[in-house]
Amino acid sequence: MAKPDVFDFFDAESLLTDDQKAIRDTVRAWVSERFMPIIADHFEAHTFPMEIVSEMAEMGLLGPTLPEKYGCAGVDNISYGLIMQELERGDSGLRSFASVQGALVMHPIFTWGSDDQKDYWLPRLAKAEAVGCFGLTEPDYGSDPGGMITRAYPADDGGYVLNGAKMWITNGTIADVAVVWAKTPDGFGGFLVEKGMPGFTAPETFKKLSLRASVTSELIFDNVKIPSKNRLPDAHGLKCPLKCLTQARYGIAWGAIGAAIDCFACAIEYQKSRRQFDKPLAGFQIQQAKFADMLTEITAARMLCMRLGKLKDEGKMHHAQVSLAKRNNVMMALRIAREARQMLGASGITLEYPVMRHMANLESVLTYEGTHDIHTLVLGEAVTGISAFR
Amino acid sequence: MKIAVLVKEVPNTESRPRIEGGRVSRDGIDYVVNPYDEYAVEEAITKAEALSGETFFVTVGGVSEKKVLLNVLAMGIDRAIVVNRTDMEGSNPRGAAKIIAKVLESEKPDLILAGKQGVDYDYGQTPLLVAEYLGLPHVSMAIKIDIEDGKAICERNTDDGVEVVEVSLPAVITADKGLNLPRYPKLKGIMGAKKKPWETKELSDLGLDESLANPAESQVEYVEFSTPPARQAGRIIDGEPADKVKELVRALSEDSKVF
Ligand SMILES: Cc1cc2nc3c(=O)[nH]c(=O)nc-3n(C[C@H](O)[C@H](O)[C@H](O)COP(=O)(O)OP(=O)(O)OC[C@H]3O[C@@H](n4cnc5c(N)ncnc54)[C@H](O)[C@@H]3O)c2cc1C
Repeated sequence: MAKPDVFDFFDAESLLTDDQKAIRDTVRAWVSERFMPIIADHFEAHTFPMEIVSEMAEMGLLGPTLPEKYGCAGVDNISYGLIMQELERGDSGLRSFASVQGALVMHPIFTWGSDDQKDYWLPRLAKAEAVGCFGLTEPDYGSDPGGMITRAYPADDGGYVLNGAKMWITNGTIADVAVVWAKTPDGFGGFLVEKGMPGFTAPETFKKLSLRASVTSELIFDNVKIPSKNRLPDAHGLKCPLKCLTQARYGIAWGAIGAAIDCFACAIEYQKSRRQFDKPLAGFQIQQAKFADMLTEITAARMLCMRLGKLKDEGKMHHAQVSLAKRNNVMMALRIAREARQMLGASGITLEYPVMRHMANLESVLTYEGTHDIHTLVLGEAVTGISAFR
Repeated sequence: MKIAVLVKEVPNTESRPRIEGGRVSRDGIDYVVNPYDEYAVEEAITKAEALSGETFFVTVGGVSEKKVLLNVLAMGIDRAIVVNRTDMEGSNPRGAAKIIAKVLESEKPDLILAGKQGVDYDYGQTPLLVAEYLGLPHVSMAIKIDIEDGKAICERNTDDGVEVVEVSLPAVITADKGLNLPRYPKLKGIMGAKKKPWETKELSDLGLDESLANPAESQVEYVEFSTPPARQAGRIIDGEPADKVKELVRALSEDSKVF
């Protein structure tokens, strides 16, 4: 019996098709060759590497599950997951860019948009000729988006007037189109707010210690006139943005594996070569116990995602299953990143190594797309039938 | 415009070759497309896009089954011609060139592109021999290729600067690093690669004699393979700083003869 590969201990590889493997390997090579060399500097400078976005688009990594008709690749959900895994092996900021563009902007336009909206925006977003963002969270309403203050009032000309503010919005400042969720007289609606519309501004949020290589912004709407053609015609109710989040969370559950693997690989390499007390650090029992935990957690997280992807491809995925995977995998990645940071000693605190960068990033990933606690409540409700949200 | 690209599978640079029975063993070796061939592939695709041409690749080998070569189709080459001879890897540029020349004789491409050398045995002979057997002009190690009125104007790096050469087409041109930046396959390309035409040929299909695959054909005899000696452990010089410096200078000049 061949010795199992520590990076794929339960041979998930043999569950993949040739196309899935080739897609993963291609994205992996691209991340290693084109992204890894520049990420530390961007993280330090608090900038997103816009220069590589067109390459991502060229390869088809934006909205990859959507149909070819819109210039997308139409890949299955396991392939999509593997793409997210490889992007986040690079940096959570890179994966966030792709998640937002694909799952939170292209997905709602594709699902609830008019034909005109789809024909206009989807090919542009796929080619990265346009960048999108998703505005749900507000300064006073985070975990409880139903309380949102942003309002779209019907105007005399059949359009709407939008007022309010969104906060912590990924890609906000660089977005050409914002999918904004607002209260309407008939409940909740989704609106395509375009860059340059009078009264719309999107200042960037600085001084972040996490996701530094990702743009985070406020969106401010001061009597912004929105033509009726910019409302998503089929998006009614809060369930729509929540469905978008389910899409994005699915990708995050995979992405977290990538960040965890990068930390795991870094810790192994470091501890095998670094010697203290006359032997490699990797030879001490305390360190080996950490490796054993990392190996177990990564293996379990991967198997979870493989199964979740299958369910999604079969159209049988429940949002509570996504909550379980997002909650488990992000926490596992964060634990591994923290542990790996320790295992590199002082070296672990620098940008020479990826571990503290991943660790800092994962704090955001733990919070966004439903905090760890909120997913705990989702699962608690699934078990007990009793909602503990309020 | 019909463009042929010559492609070879080579061990990736992380593979650690072992010697078995006086030969380099293929066990545990991961193959990739020869990196120099990727420049040729990229050039073929961009030229075909610009001149609405068609492209195909030819390889003698098929060691890695389809996995590696499918990548070439995923990048954008239209079809594959694989001459199935896994026993010729690396060892026989002359035989390979005769086989490729035979394939190209019937395909009649306007332009034949290849990497300047395979990074396995580094002979750098095959494409030039192909040119020779087909009676075509060749330019080696191009860093720029412009196609104009049935001619190729190429730039190549020399020790004294850049040389500009013009050849009439059809011609064989080999690619050097710097010619372009090879693209990554698109997801759509990866998924479409398997649907592209894939021709597998045996020597007999080409009307060629089995003896071409014979090592004797290469006119090279392998006397011995050996792995580089393991690196020696470093030496730590003990003592007072002044003595250490003296000993270091002595060791560098007398033992290792660095000075
Ligand atoms: C870098 C970054 C990027 C982001 N990008 C986007 C984006 O693109 N679009 C977007 O709309 N939003 C985005 N967000 C916002 C994110 O979704 C919210 O931060 C998240 O939903 C939590 O909201 P909050 O920060 O207001 O925290 P709060 O809701 O105020 O929660 C604070 C704490 O209280 C806990 N808590 C809250 N409610 C309960 C409860 N009922 N029971 C127990 N504990 C509870 C939470 O778990 C958390 O620990 C982003 C956030 C970050 C950090």
